[in-house]
Amino acid sequence: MKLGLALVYLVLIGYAVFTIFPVYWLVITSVKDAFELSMVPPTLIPAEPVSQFYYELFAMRHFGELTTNSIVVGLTTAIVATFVGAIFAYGLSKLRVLSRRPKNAILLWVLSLVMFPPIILAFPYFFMLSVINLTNTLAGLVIVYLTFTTPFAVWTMKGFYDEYPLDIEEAAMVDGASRSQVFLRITVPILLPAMVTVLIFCFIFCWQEFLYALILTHDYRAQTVTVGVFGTISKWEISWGRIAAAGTVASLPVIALFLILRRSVVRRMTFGVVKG
Amino acid sequence: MKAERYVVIPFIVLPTIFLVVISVYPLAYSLFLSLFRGLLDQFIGLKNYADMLADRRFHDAVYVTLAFTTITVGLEVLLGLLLAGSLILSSVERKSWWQTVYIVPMAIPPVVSGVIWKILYHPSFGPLNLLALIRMPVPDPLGQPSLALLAVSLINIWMWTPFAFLVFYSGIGAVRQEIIESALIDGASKVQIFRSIVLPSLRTLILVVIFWRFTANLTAFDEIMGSTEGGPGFTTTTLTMFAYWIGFKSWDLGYAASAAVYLLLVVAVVGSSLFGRLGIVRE
Repeated sequence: MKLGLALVYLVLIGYAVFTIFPVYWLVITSVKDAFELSMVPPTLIPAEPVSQFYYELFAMRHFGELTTNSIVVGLTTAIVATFVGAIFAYGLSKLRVLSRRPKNAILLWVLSLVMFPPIILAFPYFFMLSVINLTNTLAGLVIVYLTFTTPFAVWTMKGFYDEYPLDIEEAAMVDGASRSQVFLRITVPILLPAMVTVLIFCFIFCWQEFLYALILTHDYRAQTVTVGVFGTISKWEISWGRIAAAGTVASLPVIALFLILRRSVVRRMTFGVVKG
Repeated sequence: MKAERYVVIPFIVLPTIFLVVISVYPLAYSLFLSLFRGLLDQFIGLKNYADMLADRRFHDAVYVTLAFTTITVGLEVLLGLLLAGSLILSSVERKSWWQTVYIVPMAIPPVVSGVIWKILYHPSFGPLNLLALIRMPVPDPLGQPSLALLAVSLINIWMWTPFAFLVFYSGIGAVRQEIIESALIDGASKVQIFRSIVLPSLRTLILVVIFWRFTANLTAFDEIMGSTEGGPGFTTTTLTMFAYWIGFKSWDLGYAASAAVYLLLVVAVVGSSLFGRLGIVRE
């Protein structure tokens, strides 16, 4: 019995080390100077941490702008996606005009929109954005990012509406209020916290996105943080400190958001299939 | 409730149109592009699709994609079961603490995960150089063609095992947990409980994980771009990366689009065959 528990701890601790060590290594690499970086064996605790690489990123490599871009694109996309998702999901969950069958068909169709490979949209968007002069703009990225955040918002909001007993709505409608009034005055205020969760997840997905941003932007006016990280990898002059610093800047904010939301992570990332 | 009928317009019709415009139309456009050489240069019908089937690089990319997906999803499910089983079947303290630690890799942008492991795998700046101290040959996992695919698979496993673990662990539910606990108190062996209670309860959840990870890993790109960029040679070039190179480096968007359409077909076949068994839309 005792031995069993020791084994379990060994597995759990071993996996925890496997999980955390790479992140720890990233952070310490970002604060080691060139001399310390080349030491064998490598130091586990940086002897003299330097902030030089962070300074380089923000002073010379536009990381301030890239971070702002990621935040602006992420927030705008998240707000629009949550807005559309809240409305659409309400229609699919509460309106009785459509019967279940067409509603389920629409839901499946919405789900299928996030399942298809992102690259297949990259080609048409590359062409279409250049036609309407939105290549290398934040607005262009927002449009493309809505393609994966909106379906997520629809599914997640649908889950919230289905669970929440909104009997109070019926009462208001009997009193003569219209659907739109009920939605805006009653439903939205009640489900506001749920919407904030959806919004934060949409933001995280945008912050993590790389493929579209790599293809559809080409300088700091529209590039996002993930593209900035990739940009620090150069074939000619490799600065591991700078690469690691960029990786740290791109990771820590989302790790923080994730830990705050940890209770709903499973549920949201399976589109509500698994109730956490 | 006659008024309800018009409410359909803002609540269903307009959002549908919105999604059709941003997603379905570009998808159709991609199909259209795939019928041309270059960027709408010359209409060639289905020639891209035929050429693709005879293209050695495409065969390699299909192999890499399928091998990568099978390895990663298989190990993610197994490791997820191991971790979830360990927590479910033991009296370990602070169970939620472990969950918190394990979800960290899911938060990191996948391209950054690729970069992190590129640093870790580096023969002289990563921890691997410890091997030199004990006079062992230091491997270069991302540089050796025989190791690279396994090395990038490990990155994906690092990123997504937490997902499998979380689905299993929180999906099993409080009721089952109690049954398991009382079985433990009654003295049933852990192996017995795992086989007769835990695994059967997890059957659907295992399918859920396979469904999400299989369809997603088939389209892997970010973590590979962050680490090997598809190399050495084409040993880690997945279908998405292959389409990316053809489209944006050789500038044959039509040919690249046809590769993406093949990928879409694979994802659709796998996705829909698994989806039917999930019972997601229950009502």
